Amino acid sequence: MNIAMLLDLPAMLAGDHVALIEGDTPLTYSQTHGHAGAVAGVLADAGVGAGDVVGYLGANHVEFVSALFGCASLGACLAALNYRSGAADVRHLIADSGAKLLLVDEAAAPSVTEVGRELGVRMIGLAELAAAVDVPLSVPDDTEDTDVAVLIYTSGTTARAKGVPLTHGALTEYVLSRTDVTDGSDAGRTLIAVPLYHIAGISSLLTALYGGRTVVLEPRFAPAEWLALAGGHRITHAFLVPTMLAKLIEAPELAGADLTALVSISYGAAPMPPALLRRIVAALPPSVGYNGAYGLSESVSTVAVLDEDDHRRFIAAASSDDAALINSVGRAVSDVRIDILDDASEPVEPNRTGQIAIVSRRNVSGYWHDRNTQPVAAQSRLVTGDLGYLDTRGYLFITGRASDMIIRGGENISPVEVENALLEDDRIADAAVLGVPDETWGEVVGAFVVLRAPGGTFTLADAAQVCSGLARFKRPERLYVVTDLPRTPTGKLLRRELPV
Amino acid sequence: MYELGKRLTCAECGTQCLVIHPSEPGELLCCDQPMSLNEPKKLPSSD
Repeated sequence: MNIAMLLDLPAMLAGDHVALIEGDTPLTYSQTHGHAGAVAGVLADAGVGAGDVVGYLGANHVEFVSALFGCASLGACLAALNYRSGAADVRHLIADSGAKLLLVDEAAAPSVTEVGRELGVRMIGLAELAAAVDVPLSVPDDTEDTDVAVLIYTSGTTARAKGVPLTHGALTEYVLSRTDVTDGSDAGRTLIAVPLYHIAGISSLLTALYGGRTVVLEPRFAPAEWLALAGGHRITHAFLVPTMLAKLIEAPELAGADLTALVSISYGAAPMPPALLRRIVAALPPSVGYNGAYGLSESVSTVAVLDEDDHRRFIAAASSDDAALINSVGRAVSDVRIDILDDASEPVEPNRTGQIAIVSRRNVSGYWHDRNTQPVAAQSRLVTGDLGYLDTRGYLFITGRASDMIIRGGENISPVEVENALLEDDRIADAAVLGVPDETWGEVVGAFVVLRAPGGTFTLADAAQVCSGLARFKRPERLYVVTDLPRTPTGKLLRRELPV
Repeated sequence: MYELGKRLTCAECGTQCLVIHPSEPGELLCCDQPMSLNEPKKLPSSD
């Protein structure tokens, strides 16, 4: 089924319902449908047809939504590219995607225009799309489930960003596994501030539009603006990454913000340190519920959810099992099975750590340019590269990345465990841990910390004290006090950029 | 006759259908038996 149907059906059923808001401009489903049709016309006039790739380099605007469905209508693929990458990365993204046309948000990404010109790729500004005259969107009926609807790129925390082709089949399967189409009744309003070139942004957008939850777009996350939008539009739901939430609760504007309509915050895309989650729960109104989502681009969004009931249980902490849930990413969603594999790729019993593998029909069959070699999803089992275990109740606990594991004299150390211990200390605003070469042990734990008080002091002895609950070999033996840590726009740590 | 947007499942083979065009009166059959209407699924708060 073509993803354009995810807009076509709600437009037929709830055409007058508000689908999208950017700034103070609401668009009904009918208007959104018409604008997507108009953009399809602009793209067709520019020579875009079935099988072509159109790049979008810009912030979260209505034009992204129109381009997404407009491309789908033509059988073309929208490459949602990170416009905030440096010029070299943008060049790689454009060239690798094979885009024959770029839709460019010139205000947000002036350097993109330069790169596009260098590469000789035709560009259209978002203003031209905005001015196009509405026509109904047509939905092709010959789309194969394996046709690519959207191309996104992995965050490239360990290597160059790789293209992940999201097919019409996988995206529609995800949405239909989550919700039925809207019947026009009020399903709330969701604020999307995560970049729409990230899987969390795209999946939130599609499920909300199909399920009838009005989407309010924040072009680029800024805490004060987010709080103003949340109050002004009576936002009920929002998805944020942990670093965004950390900034939100530190914002001076939080004290006067109206979050009375907010019922749920979902978080994901990067690990949530338990200490940060406790601070978030303490800072936001008690009426807010929380959902933690664990997913990957390669599994086409969420595969496990730590839901609101789980959060209530660990906040109440009536038992040690309940209290431990704060370290979990939740249980598998309905169309997913999670396996933990040993070194021979065989599933292991509960509470044993191994490689996390996802079994789902949504898994991509390979990366862009490499789609037939099945490098990531042999037999629909996607080996994530994350390490973790399932408890006897089916809760998944992530202990780190296989490639990040520190090996000190034969002892395996998960950086995440040490980072979480450091972040429990009030003096530390951010922390990263990695293996540092050592003549005696091969590797020892090196800790990078960002202090809350700039210019404050924090010594190796302090770090050892803060980590005194960990085994001695896991405690930091090198300490680097830095002003910030390299992270992707969605908050994932870029360990390869740490200056060891 | 089925309403737009409703989903049906074949109890025998598991095939699912989504109604995307207004339908004529009648019944949808799969594996020689009527397909059953799925329970409504509301958008969860985690999305």
